[in-house]
Amino acid sequence: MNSTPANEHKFLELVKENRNKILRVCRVYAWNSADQDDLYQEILFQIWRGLPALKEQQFANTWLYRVAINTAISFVRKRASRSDRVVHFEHADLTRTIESRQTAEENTDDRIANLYTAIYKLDPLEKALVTLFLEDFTYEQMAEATGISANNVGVMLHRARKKLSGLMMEEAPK
Amino acid sequence: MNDDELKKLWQQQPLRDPAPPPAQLVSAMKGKTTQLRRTLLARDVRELLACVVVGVIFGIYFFTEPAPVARLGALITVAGSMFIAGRILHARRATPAAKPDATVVESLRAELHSVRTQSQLLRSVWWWYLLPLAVGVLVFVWGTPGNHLGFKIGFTVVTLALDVSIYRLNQRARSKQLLPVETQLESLLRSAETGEPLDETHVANLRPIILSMAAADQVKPVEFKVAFWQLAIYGVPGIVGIWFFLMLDLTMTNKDWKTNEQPVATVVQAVYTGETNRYSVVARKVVDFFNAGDYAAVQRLYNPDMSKFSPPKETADFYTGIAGRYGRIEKFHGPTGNGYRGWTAFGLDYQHGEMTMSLALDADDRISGIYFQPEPIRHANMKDNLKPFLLHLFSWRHLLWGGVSFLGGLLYTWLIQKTTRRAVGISALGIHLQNGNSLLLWDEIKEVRPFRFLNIRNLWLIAESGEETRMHWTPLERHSDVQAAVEKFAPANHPIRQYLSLLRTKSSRKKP
Repeated sequence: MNSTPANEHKFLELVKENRNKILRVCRVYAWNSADQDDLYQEILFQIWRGLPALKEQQFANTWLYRVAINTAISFVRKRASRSDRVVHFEHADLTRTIESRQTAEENTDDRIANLYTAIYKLDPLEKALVTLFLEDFTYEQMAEATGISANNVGVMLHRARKKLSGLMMEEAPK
Repeated sequence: MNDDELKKLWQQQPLRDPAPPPAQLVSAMKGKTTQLRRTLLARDVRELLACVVVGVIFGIYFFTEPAPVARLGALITVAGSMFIAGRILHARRATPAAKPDATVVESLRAELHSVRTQSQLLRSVWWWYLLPLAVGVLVFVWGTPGNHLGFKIGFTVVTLALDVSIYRLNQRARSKQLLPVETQLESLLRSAETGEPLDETHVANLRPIILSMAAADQVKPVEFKVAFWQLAIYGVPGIVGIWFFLMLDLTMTNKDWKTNEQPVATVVQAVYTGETNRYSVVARKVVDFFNAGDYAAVQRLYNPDMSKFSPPKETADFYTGIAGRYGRIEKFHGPTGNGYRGWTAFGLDYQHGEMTMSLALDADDRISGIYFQPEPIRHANMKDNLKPFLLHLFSWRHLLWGGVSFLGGLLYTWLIQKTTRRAVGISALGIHLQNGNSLLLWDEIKEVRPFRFLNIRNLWLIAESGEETRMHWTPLERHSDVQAAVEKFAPANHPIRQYLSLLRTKSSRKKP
C-alpha cells in the first residue's frame, strides 16, 4: 500500500471498528493463541495491502469479511500443506486433550466453548458461511463476500447449520 | 437456543487483546511490506542465481574451448540454463496470487491454478530442467579432447544417477505435498460452485493435520539441530576434495615437472632455395588451408622448385598424414625465432601435439622451404618423477588455496548449520520432525531400529502400520540434553530408550 497519513488513518479506523469481528474469524480458523495472533496479523496485512481497492466505504463490512475469510482459509491450508507427514490416525486422547485445553483456557461460557468446538468440525467453506450467518449477514451479502452464488449459499448454509446443531447437541454437557 | 440467541452469544463473546497493539500496527504493516518485497526478491535471486552461474561458466567455455563439439556442449548448457530460468519466471508470472480482497472462490481458483502449475513443473522436471543441462554437460565432457574415456564414462554415470535421484525426489514431493493440496482445493472449489457437500475424506484428511499442528504448538518440544562438527566432517572434506582435484588437474596438465624426451618422430618436407619476408602472412595461409583440408591450396603456395620436389599428390599425402596423427591446428603463434637451418619458425598447437614449422620464402613470397619439427613429447613418468610431481602438487601456492578451501568448508558448514531448522524436537507428546510439521506420538512408535552410515548412527522409527521414519540420532547436537529429554518424556519402556547408549554424553565419556 502507498503509505500516506490518510491511508494510515483509514487503516487504523477500519481495524479499530472491526477488531472484534476479525478476532472472531481468527478464533474460528486458528485454534490456539499463537496461531490466532499470526492469523490476525496476516489478515491486517492483507487489509493494509488491499485497502486502496476499497473505494466505497459503505461496502467496507463485506469487503473486510472477504479479506478476512479468504486470508483465514488460505492460512489454514498453507499451514496444513507445510506438513509432509503428520499424525497418521485419529488419536482420541490427544484430540480430547487439545479440545479441552482450547475450550477451557479461553471460554468461561460453556455454550461458546461448545459452539467453537462444533464450528471447528465444519469444513472451511461451512465455517465461512456460519461465521457470516452469526455476524448477521444476509444471503446476498454472504454471496458477495464469498463468491458463492446466493442459491448455493442457501443450500450450503442450511446444511451447515443442521450439522452445527447436531454437533452442538453432541458437545452439550450430558 | 434460537438463531437470535446464538447470534447474540456469538457477537458478545469475550475476546482477548490481540498482538500487536494498535499503536504499533502501522509500523508493523510497513515492516511486513518491506519483508514481503525482500522475500520475493530473494526468492527470484536464489532461483535465478544458479542458472546465471551455470550460464556464465559455460559461456566462458564456449568462447575459449577450441574443440567444436565441446563448444556445442557449452552452448547447449548455456541455452538450457536460460530456458530453465525462463520457464521458472514464466510459471511465476502465469500464476499470480489472488488480490487480497478476492472472493473465496476467486482465491481458491488462483491457488488451484498455482498448485497445478507447480505440480506440472515437477511432473515434467525431467524434460525442462534435468535433460537440457545433462545433454549439454555430457556433450561438453565427451567433446573435450583431453578427457580420458574412463573419466567420460564415470562422469556420465554420476550425472545420470544424480538426475535420476533429483527426478525421484521431485516426484515424491509432488505426490506427498502438491497432489493432496490439489485434491483438497478442487474439492473446496467444487463444493463452492455447486453447493454440494465437501468430500468427507478430504475433511478427514485435514483434521489430523490441523490436530498435529495444534498439538505441536500446545506442547513446546526441546529442540535439537545437527551438530556443527558432524556437518563439518562431511562438508569440509567435500570442499577440500574439490580443491585437491583441481590442483591435481592443474599439476597433471602442467609440463614443468615432466621430463623432456627426444621427439618420437621428425616430419620433414624441405628444399632450400632462398629466403624472404612476410612469413607470417604465408604461415597463416598454410594454417588456414591445412585446417580446411585444402592441401592443394597449400601446394599452390610452393615455388616451382618446391612444387617439383613435392607434387600435389605427395603434398596431399604428407599433410593428410600430419592431420591424421596430430589433428587440426588449434593455435598458431610466431614467428618464434630461427628454426631449421635458420629459417623463420612458428609454433603450431595441434589437437594432439605441438610442432615447430620452419618456413623459407623466395623473393615472390612463395614457399621455398618448409620443415615440420614435432616438439619433444613430454609425458608423466610417475615412477621417475614422483618427487617433482608432489613438490608441484603441494607447492606453497596450491597449499595456500588448500587453506582457503578448508576455511571455506568451515564457513559452508557454519552457514548450513545456521540456516537449517531444527532436526528433532522431543516433547511429552512424542518426537517432532521436519520443524514441527510432523509429530510421531510416543505410543505410535512400535519399534525402533538403528542404521549406520560410516560414523553416523540414525534411527528408524517404525509405526504399527510398518511405515518407517528416519530420525537423526548421533549427529544431533547436545547429546546430554537429548538423553535428558528422552528420559524425561519417553514412556518407561519405550524402545527408543535402548539406543541412548549410542549417544556420547558426559557420563558415557567418563566410563573407561
